[in-house]
Amino acid sequence: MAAWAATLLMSCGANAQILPCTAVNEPGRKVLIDEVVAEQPSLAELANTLAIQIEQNLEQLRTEADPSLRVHACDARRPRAPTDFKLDVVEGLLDRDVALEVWARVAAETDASGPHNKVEIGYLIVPVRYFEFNSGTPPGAFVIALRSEPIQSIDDLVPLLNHSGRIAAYAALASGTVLLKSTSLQSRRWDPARTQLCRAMSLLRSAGSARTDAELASYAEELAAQAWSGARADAQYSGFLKTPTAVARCLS
Amino acid sequence: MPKLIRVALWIAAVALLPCEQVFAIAVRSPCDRPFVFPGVDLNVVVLPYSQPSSLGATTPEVGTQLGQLVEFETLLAIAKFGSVGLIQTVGDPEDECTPEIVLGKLVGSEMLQPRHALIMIWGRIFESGSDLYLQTYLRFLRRDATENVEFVEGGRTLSGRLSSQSLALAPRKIALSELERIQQQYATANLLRATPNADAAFVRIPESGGPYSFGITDVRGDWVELAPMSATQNVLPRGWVLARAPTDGLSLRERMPELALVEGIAGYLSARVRNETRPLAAADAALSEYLERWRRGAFLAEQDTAASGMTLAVAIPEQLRGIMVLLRATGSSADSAAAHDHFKRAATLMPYSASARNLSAISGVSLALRERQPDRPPRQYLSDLLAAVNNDPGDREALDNLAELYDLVLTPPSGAPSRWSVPTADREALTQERDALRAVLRP
Repeated sequence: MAAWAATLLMSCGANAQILPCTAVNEPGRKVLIDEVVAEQPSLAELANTLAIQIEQNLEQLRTEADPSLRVHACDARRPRAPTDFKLDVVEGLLDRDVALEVWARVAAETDASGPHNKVEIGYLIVPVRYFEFNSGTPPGAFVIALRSEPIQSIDDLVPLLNHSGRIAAYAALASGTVLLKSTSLQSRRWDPARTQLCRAMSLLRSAGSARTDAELASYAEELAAQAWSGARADAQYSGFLKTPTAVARCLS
Repeated sequence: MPKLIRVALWIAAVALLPCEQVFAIAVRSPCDRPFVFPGVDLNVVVLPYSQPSSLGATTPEVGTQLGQLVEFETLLAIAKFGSVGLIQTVGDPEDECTPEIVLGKLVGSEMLQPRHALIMIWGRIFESGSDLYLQTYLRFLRRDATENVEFVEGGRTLSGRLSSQSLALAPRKIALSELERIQQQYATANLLRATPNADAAFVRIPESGGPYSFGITDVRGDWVELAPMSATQNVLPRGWVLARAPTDGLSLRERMPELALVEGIAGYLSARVRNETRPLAAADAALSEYLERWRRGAFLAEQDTAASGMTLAVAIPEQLRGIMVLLRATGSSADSAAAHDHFKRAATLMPYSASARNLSAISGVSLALRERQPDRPPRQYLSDLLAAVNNDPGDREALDNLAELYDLVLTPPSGAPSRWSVPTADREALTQERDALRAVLRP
């Protein structure tokens, strides 16, 4: 896994594309990490730092939430924007049990405030993107942008790149969404879906103040309410969600 | 002698050791054939820390060497708990030395006996720019046992369990010079000396082959006497190792507060395996030290524990301290209050966890029933548990507790505080809620 971080390529816009990733065919539930792109050669070190942080965050997710989750590198796969994840692409990922895909790029920019580095971390929450593809709300694929000074010390930068809480929330949301929509599980899906969705909501609300996270938290709660109403309407279900004390919203 | 036969002989020798006060240590145990000491209560397995390939030229073995130093430091900390074994493994952290593979082999074999305990430690050294960082992970368990606690109130049992037994600990920055000191310290610790004296004649423990296994026959300060077992007797003599750095060396425990966490967990597990309270005071002191120091040198952006992603790294030690208070408890309300405080802090850190909220709620109930003047009416404890199962309706333990709590509220035990009584107007509604819950809990 460490090797992929070292194989950063300097990208240029013309050859950027979303290449197929052979790792999607590996068995089991999985997360894909695409190549971390440095737009300028001078940013290779920053890109490497970012790649390692993403890897760390995913290792923490595996350790604390789901050791069966596998993390696979997709070398040379370089999404440019969330729109690269078209319906057929996302459907293929969903069919192959991909929960999340993470990509990132760093670029030097200059605006009115002067030169700075732009760090973009892209997240694809596969089931959210797939099931909400037409509405686009909430976004299942999005970019969180950070800004760093050109010579910001790594000490200052590395903690900013720690998204472990956020990634745990996205993984829970992906899991809960798939469970809720998995009709093959029939009445057995409501409880685990509800658990993951309420967990996602809680984690998203404590993950930070990003607007996307707030939208995703609301979505998680909405789906959790659907798990509640689905359970209550399901003649085969006989669990807690059918009792009079169960309520639709996740309780804080 | 073929390696497989050496391992088998060694395991056979360890199995014959007496079960009380067994201290054993193995270094350079190949990851592809992991083992634990079958006769001991608690085994600690340390996997090599993975390291970036860029360190290969200057410090090719630093991840493995750090693993051995962690093993020795842990040995000094936990030898007091008795019946412990430590195994340092070597191999590829990206391949056969992953925690999943090693744990699968250990738990899948008969070596780890039922109810005996295991702590697995692994980690990563990673590089950002010219800086290096260190992150440790750990997992602990007792085979076929749950880390739970029970409250018996009014003849009814309320039970709760730890929310996780697998943790990622805070990343820490380390300087390249510290890696060099790790290597120097390793070079010192890897020598078997004739006497516990830095000037005594020595034999170097080979940096190839293995496992090299020893019984621990004496501990004097930072010196540990090792007696080679079975196959190792043909390779190495009895001797003393300096398990901790001299005062001018790198203090691993100072740089890695998580080693205090390992000590605390080791004491907790030792107490539970043997069903005795003796190790708990030292274990609690170690956990307290960890909770006080875990942020020191940690490389985190946020002061807020949850936002920094370190929720479990703090919440689980809190829960362990709560359970340990109860294991040592004399039944006083002060003990109940102390345990409840720990569980409440953990639940506040992870409101999404039904198990954390469950522990907080049931310890609150227990406290309320011991105090004659509880500050919360019973309905609030019901609300706590209802919130937990509302968010996690599959948590059977919390559901069972909720049903028991309804019964405790509707039929308070003798001596329950006056505030525990339920107004008649509420009684009918609570009875209906209880009956509906009991209906869904029927098998």
